[in-house]
Amino acid sequence: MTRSTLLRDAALVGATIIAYVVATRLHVRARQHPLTNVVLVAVVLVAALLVATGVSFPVYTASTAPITLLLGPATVALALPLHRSMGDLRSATKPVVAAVLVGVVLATTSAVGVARLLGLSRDTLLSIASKTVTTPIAMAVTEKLGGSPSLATLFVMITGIFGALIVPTAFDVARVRDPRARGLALGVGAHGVGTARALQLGGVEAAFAALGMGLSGVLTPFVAPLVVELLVQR
Amino acid sequence: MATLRGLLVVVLFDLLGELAARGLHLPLPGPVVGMLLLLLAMSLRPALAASCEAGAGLLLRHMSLLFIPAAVAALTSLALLRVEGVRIVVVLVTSTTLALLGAGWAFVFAARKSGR
Repeated sequence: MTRSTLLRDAALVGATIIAYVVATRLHVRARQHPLTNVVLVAVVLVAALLVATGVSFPVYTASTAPITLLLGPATVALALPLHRSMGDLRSATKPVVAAVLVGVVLATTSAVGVARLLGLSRDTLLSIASKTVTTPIAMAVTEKLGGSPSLATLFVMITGIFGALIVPTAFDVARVRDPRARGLALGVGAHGVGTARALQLGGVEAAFAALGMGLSGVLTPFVAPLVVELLVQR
Repeated sequence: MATLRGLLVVVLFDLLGELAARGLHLPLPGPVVGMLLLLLAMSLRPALAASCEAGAGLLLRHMSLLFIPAAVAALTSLALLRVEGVRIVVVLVTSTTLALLGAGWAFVFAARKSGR
């Protein structure tokens, strides 16, 4: 590795961190509106920088590999909030288990099923299967399935933003009024973005959203390969 | 030091998960196995949760930063998105609505049945 590539790597890693900080500040100022999603805003900033400076996307990806490398440990770290939510699980075991099972199976089968009905490509089918789960797990599962982890990131992001946007209106229309049910559904159906939204709805919603997101992260890696096996032709 | 100790714990469990997934040919990704192992370890030894608190918390707080390179790389699939983009949005909207309401209804229904 030459000195100039080292310098370029450091500059691109630095630019990514700056984009993240700027996007986070904007998100806070916009009172955490789902459309000011931190990753979405940061991606726009980084892409603009790459186009302006003429740095190619593959070069950017290679230079920022040290950031991506931390995804493994970050996935492992998800065990901590899940461990803390175990008390909430015990307080309502049956409804929680029912909601996570229905949510994960419905999310996975409907994503792959509708995508297949609409004639989408195999690469899309494999990358969309785990789009309802939190990003690091979706990326790992997609890689294992042979899809594109970066496409999966995009699908996960849109899922979270859309899910956060339609609540609480969708819950009111569907008459889901129990705050525990609302939180759990947000965690299962819209992962971290939904969990952040649940925090704005209330404390009970937030606790159950964290539980829903954690349990869906445990279940989806088992369910997604089965659904792909059933619904995607080899 | 507490942050470093916590980071070391999650890195070790990541490694352990990767080794187990490969060695036993599990259908699960290594980091997911690592997460399940850490969860198990923390339920057997609750003190472990406190000791990985600071390090794990750092990664969890700034998790969004870690997705940015991958999300930027998704923009190289613009050709695919130009052809399939609208249909992909239809899939995501349908599936997310179904999952949210399905999970919500299942909770309410099971809560009523079990009297909680």
